[in-house]
Order: sequence, then C-alpha cells, then structure tokens
Amino acid sequence: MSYERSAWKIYISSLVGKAGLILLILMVVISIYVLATYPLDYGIRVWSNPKAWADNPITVPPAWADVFTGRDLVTHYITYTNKPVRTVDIAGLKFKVYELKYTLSEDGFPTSLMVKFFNVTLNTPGGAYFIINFTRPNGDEITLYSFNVVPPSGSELPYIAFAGNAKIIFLSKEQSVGIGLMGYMNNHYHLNLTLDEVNEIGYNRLLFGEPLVSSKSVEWVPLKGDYSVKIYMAGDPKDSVGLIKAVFGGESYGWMGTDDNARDLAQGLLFGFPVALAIGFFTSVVTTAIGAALGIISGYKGGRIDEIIQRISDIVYNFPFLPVIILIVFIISRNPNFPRILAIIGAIIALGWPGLTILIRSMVLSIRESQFVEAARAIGASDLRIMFKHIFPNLAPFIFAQMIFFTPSAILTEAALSFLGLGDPNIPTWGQIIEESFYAGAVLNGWWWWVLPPGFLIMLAAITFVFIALGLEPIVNPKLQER
Amino acid sequence: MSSGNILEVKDLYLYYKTFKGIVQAVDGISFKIPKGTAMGLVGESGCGKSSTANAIMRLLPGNTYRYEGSIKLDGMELMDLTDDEFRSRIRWSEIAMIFQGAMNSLNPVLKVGFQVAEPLIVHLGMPKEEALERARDMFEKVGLAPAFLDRYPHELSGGMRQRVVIAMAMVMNPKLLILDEPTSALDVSIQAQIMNLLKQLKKEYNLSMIFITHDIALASDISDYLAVMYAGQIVEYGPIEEVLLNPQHPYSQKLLASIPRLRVDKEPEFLPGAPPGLINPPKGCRFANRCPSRMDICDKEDPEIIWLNKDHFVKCHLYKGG
Repeated sequence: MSYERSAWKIYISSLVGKAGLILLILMVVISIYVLATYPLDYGIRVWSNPKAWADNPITVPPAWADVFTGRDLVTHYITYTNKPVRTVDIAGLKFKVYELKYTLSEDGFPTSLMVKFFNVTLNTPGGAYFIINFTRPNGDEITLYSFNVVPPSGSELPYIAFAGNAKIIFLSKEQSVGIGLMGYMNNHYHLNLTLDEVNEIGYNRLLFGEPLVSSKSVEWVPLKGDYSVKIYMAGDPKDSVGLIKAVFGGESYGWMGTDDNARDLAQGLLFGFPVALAIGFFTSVVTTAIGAALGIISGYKGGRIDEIIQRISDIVYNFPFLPVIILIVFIISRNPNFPRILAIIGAIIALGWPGLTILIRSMVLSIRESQFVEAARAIGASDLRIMFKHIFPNLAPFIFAQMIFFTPSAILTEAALSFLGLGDPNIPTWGQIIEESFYAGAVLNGWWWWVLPPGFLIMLAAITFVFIALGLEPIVNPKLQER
Repeated sequence: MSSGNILEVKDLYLYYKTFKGIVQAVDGISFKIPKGTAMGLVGESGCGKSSTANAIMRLLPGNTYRYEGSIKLDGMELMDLTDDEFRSRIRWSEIAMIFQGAMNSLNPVLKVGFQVAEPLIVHLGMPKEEALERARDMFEKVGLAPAFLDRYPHELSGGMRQRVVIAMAMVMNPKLLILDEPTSALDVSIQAQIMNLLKQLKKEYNLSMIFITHDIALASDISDYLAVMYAGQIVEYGPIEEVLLNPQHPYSQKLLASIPRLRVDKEPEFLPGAPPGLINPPKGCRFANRCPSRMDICDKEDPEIIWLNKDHFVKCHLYKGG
C-alpha cells in the first residue's frame, strides 16, 4: 500500500477527521453556490446599497422564530402587477383597475403597508388621476389615498413619470389614510375615534384588525382573511403603469431575519462563506509558504543568513499581534483605493510567518546533518535543489498540517479586525455583521438573530479546520497512531 | 595520458576547527592509484579515512580550517578548480562515492528510481523520463528488477538498498569510485553478493576504486593496493600482497597480527594504548607511544616517507638511510 493511500486511511478512520472533512465539503459547496449566484461586487452593489433593501422590514427575526414566540408571525409579503383587471365607469370617467391581493392567515398585524409606482406613462398634458382603495375580508372598500400625476409643462409626450425613482406611498403612515380609517370605523363599528387615537393605535391595526369592544376598553384583534389593494387610474386610455408593487410588512423575514438597514441577513451570512474560506486559505497558504521557505533556508544555509532570519523572526514573533496588526491595517487603509481586505490579509501574513520559520529551522538543523543530504551534495545537487527537492519532502506533511492549523486563526483574526471596525466595508463578512449588530445595540434590544448566527459560523469555520488538523495529526506524528 | 595513474594525491591536508582546537584529520597524505585498480584504505576508527574521502570529493564541512595539497585526477589538478567547476565537472561525473550506511544515504521520502536518476538530471539536464530510463538500465546492471524504481527506500531490504546506492554512484559512469565502508551494515552473505557485484563492475568498466574499510580481509578481496592510515597519516602504502604478507611499518605489523585467524593456534595480538588525539598530536612520530621498536628520534622528529621500491613506501624512522 502506498504512503498516500495509507495516510488517507488513517485520516478517514478518525472521527474528528471525518467530521472536519464533511464540514469543509459543506462550506465549499455553499461557497461555490454563492460564487455562482451572487455578483462578485455584491458588497458594493447590493449589501451596502440601501435601495436594494427598501422593500424589507427592519430588524425582524427569521420566519422560523415563531418556534420561540408561540404564535405565527406575520410573513413579509410583496406582490406586484402591471395589468389592469378591468375598467369601470365612475361619474363619467373611465378608470383602469389594478388589484393587489393579500391573505392574512397569521395571528398578527402586518407591520406596514406600502405601495410603489414605477414608470407611469402619460399621453396627455392633463396627466392621470389615481385612487387607492383597500378591501377588507368582509368586502368593505375604504378609500385611502388619491393623487394626480401631471407631466411637467413643456415635456414631450408620452411622458414617463417615476422612471428612475418610484413613487412610494407609505399607506400605514399617510394622514389621509388615518382619516379614511377613522370614518370607516365610525360607520362600520360605530366607534368614535379621534385622529390622535387612530395615530396611537397605529394604522396597521386599523387596516388589518377589528375592535373587540368591552365596557372599559377597546382591544384590537387581527382580522384574518383576504384583503386587496385596488388602484383606480383615470386618464388617457393609452396611459399605463409599468409596475405597481404592494409591500405588506411582516413580523419575520426569510431564513435569517433582517438587520436595522432591512438587509436580508441570510444573504450576508452566505456571502461570508467564500470570503472566510478565501481569507483562511489564501492567508494560510502564503504564510506557510513564507514561513517554511525561510525556515528551510535559515536551517540549511546557517551562518549569517541563519542569524539574520532568526533575529528578524524573533523580533516579529514578539510583536503584540493585535495592536500591531491594527496599526498596519490602519496605515495601509489610509489609501482609500487600496482594497482593505488585502491590507488585512497582508498584515496577517506579515506577522504570521515567524512561528513556523523557527520551528522548521530546528527540524532542518537535524535533517541537514543526515547522510542523504550529504549524498545529495555529493551528487552535485545545488543548495536550492537540496533544500526544496530533498529536505522539503521530509517536512511536507508537517508543513501541510501547520497550514491547516493556521487557517482558523486567519479567519478569527479577520473577524476580530472586522469587529473592531477595520473590516473591508465593501465585502460583508461575519465579523462585520457582528460589529454592525453590536453598534446597533442588537444585544440590548434582544435581536439575537443578528448576533448569534455570524458568531456561530465563525466558530464553525474555525472548528472545521481544527478538526481536519486533529485528523491529520496521527499522520504527521506517527507516534499517535493507534496500532 | 600522464602516468597511467587515475588519481595522484600529494601532501593533502584537511584540518577542522572546533572549540577544543584544530583537528588534524588528514595530515599531509600522499598516494596514487593506477587506472583500473582499487586501493584499500584501512585503519582504526577516527583515523581520518572518511575525511580523506571527503577531501577528495571536496565535501568540506563549514568548520574547515586548512584544505590544501595536490589531487590530480587523470593528470588534471583538481585543487585549481573553483567550487562550482568542481561541482559541475568532477563531483559524481568523474568521482562518485558510496557512503557509509546505504539506508542513510537514501532520502526516505523520494522514490529510489528518482534518486538514481537525479545525478543525470542535475549534471546533464536530462529530461526526467530519459533519466529514469537510464536508471532502469543501471538497475539491471546492479541486479535489481525495474519494478523497484517506484519503491521508497523503506520498502527495500538492506542489500537492495546497497545496490540502489551503487547504481546511483555508477549512473554517471565515473572514473573513480570511493566506497566508504560500503558493506558495514550488511550480513555476511549479502556482503559477499555486494563484493562480487563491485568486482564485476570494476572489471566491466575498468573502474578505479578507493575502498575504505576497517576490515582488512574485505579490503584484500577487491584491492590491488593497500594504504594503512594512522592518526591522520598514511603510514604504509604498497601493493596489497607486499603489505599483507610483508608489512614494514610497526603499526601495519601489529594491525595484521591482531586479526584472528582460523586454524592457527596463535592468540590474536592486541595493540596496547590508544591512538593520539588529532587535536595537538605528539610532535614526533604519532605511533611512537605504542610502537614496540621505538627509538629516541621517534619522539622528536616526524618521520619522512621512505620508498622501499617504486610502489611501496613506509613512514618510519626504522628505514631511514636504507
């Protein structure tokens, strides 16, 4: 049986080795999925761009959080249309009707209601008139809002309004909605409310609930059933709407909830996988290569070269790691054009190599005295050839294990730097998500979904490599092999 | 062709510097090896046999203090070459060496085929495949199946490893082969096989050899000349029959007398005392304190080399003045 086969057998027979390998495969698969589906400039284009998250609820837990709350949380719901369902005649005006349907099935109130208009095409200088009505499960239709869209004077027709920026109407905040609801409650439930009272209760409760009146107080309970937002448009028959979107604000969102910028945390956490792997892999490979090469040269060459390399290693090795690395990253990132992620990787490499250099040198000191090295010298092999063709293969398994051991510390260092606010703002990483949650007071506010998952993933990544390194240990150090 | 000698060594010195002082490991030795012959180099442990080999191969440790003299290979003065020239033109391509302990001179993590082929890659810049093809031929020459090319050293037996090392030494077709205790770690039957292989190679390639050993019987098996070394100096050199049958130097006589013999009712003699340390050795003859025929002059003057005939010299005051 060859050396490679038996080494593999030893590795796979250990439980931690297997666990580490499975976790690594999982991480790699997720990373490949992310790289295949996300744009490479995801951080700038999506993550740090508030427009990308405008439709999302702010700091809501993940959808599965109702396990903890004991009741169904209202799911965030977005719907849109661009085709009128019918045309109606009202007071001699022809209205196109757009309908956006919604079903409330949970025991809760949607937190908000928002309607957006995109690309409204106007064919006459008079423009178009919009009415937004709201239908409750019992069929009652309430007029909430109305507005005019008129092309600016002198503009060419047809004119497209709301092309770049959508017209956004926060129905759950508009005062006209409050007034409309006040009237509806009076008519339908014989409930006399002042506008202040309506504001205090919250429009969303009035929109999606009904009052439970007792002798002393009024309690609002969610009204389950089918709702719809109806938009009536009057204008030129050729006038049209590019897209109407309705957002029913949920109490929960997606797999991982959202942060205070309404960002989908699941996306940020997923993007963290390839970033963490890349940082860990690249940093450890380069650090190990530098450390091992210097160690071999130092140990084999001896003399002045050895002295110089060892003294530099001693000095760098004794730098206080975090303060110096903060300094380096701070200085490098004064140049805003320099990608900060590279500054971080460079700083970890610059401070990470000496440990291995010192270790490898001591091993080379004994190997270089062995006869096969003398034999290699005798056959006329050059120093370079002896160092990397003859000595290196003897150290390769050890160096490989060291490389894997170094990976988690690179990942953890990047997380620590990000947490201290030195992360690359253009690339979401787990450390940065924790940092942002910390500054938003997530711990105090109990926004656990924002704090725990990134922490857990950092730990998982580190543990993966520690497991692999532990699995490799019996191969590198045969004394640990069970017989 | 100069003188029919493949190697002429004259006044070769190799001193090492240590914390305790200067070690005079090789102290002004001279000898010559005619083409196609083998010279046995015998002596006690630590008398400078391996240092002599290293001096000829110019494998000098970092603490070398003095390295001078004349080494002529086929008439060419090797001491005039720079280290790089020596490495690229002489070492292994002209003079190859088999080290003490074959296991240790093979790299445990490289395939033996590659290790045999490596000198060709290093010296001739031969592509790996071609070099491996040559290594395969060499394997056949030394009696190894080509299948062993892909093995690692630990997968081979001691005798096979020794054959690999011989193949490695022979792959560049050198003129001179230095063998430093090539069979010391092998059992007797394997030893015999290896000796037969070496003799066969010697004959086939008209190979010249320096055979370093402390086993005089083994040296006599293959050598045409014998040099006896004591405390960094060659005290007697000559054709093997003359030295073995009629040793002249008192040390040679004592050394040969100390070999146990079969069917002879004589107890092997033993040589009292110990060789002097090579740091600050005594001023006169280095063997003086153990010599049975010691004279006054022996403590004062280092004896000169005295040629008994054109092939035989002895370094002893006894023979001064004929």
